[in-house]
Amino acid sequence: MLFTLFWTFFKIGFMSFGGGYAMLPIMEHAALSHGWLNTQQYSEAIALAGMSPGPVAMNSAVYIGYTAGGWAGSVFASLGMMLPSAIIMFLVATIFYRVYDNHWVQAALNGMKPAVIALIAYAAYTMTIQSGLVKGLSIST
Amino acid sequence: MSSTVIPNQIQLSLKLFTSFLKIGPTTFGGGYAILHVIDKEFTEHRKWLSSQEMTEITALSGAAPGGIGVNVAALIGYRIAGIPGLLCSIFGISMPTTLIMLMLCATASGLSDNPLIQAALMGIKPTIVALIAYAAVRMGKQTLKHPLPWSITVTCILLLLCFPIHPLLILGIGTMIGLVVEAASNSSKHNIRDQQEQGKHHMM
Repeated sequence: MLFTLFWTFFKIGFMSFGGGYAMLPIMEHAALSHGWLNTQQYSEAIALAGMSPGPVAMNSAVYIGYTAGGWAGSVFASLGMMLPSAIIMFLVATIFYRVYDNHWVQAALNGMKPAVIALIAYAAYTMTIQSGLVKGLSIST
Repeated sequence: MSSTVIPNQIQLSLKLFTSFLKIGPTTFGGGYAILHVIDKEFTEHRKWLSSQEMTEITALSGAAPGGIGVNVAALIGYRIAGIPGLLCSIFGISMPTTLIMLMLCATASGLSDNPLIQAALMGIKPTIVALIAYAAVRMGKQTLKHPLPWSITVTCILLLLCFPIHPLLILGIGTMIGLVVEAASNSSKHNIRDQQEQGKHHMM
């Protein structure tokens, strides 16, 4: 259980292009499918994570970990989020800055950025539905 | 020689740790807000980095996965004190906010049936919607300048809304489109160049 928490957030950490907000749909998917939270709890998690200082993704990981497995759960979840950053930034500092100007890397990033915007917009949409601002407008299945 | 280098590195790492420990709690509303705080601390106050280096670090951090605040901290840490510096900086910037969040969790989970807490959460949620939507708008202003990125964004939103698609697939789709377009524009450039060269041959 603790290891699953760590592993799930470890994988999410590697994919979090575009910062924390783009990760919200991915975290929602993971948390709901593992049964760690229900939709009501998830929207509370995002509300608390968003109003607290610090990166939204990290805060959500702490909350989801806490709800799923108490103090230990939140420690494992947040370590899972932190470790990929350390590994990736080490790689960036040593290797990636040399390929950053490569046109294929730029092309991949150019395609990824609009997709990230879509993910963030979708996160805003889900939060709107769950916060009860617009009742019964849900299209998504 | 090495005996003086190692304590030096540890000292620098500790300084990095305390610097980021101070900066950490000021990261309300995501990393972009603290970029200029970090900039001030390291280029003006401590003079460890030139503003040129800072700009480069910011660009790289924005492109790499992860929160931009943590990424900037990691890169600065590595640049100044190697791997120990990197680890100290990440822990320094993450620890205060993680602890604050943990305390909030502990309090909120004990009081989640309390009507006042529920009312507060109901009030917070719409503001979080605004925060997230603003993040999308801010990124959109930088990125959505041509029809192509617009169409990628719109397609991805429609996919997310209408199908139970895994959100990670969306990133994959975006990357693929970026690469395919690059390949297409490369080959069309080649074609034009080929035609021009053929034209020259005909002229001769």
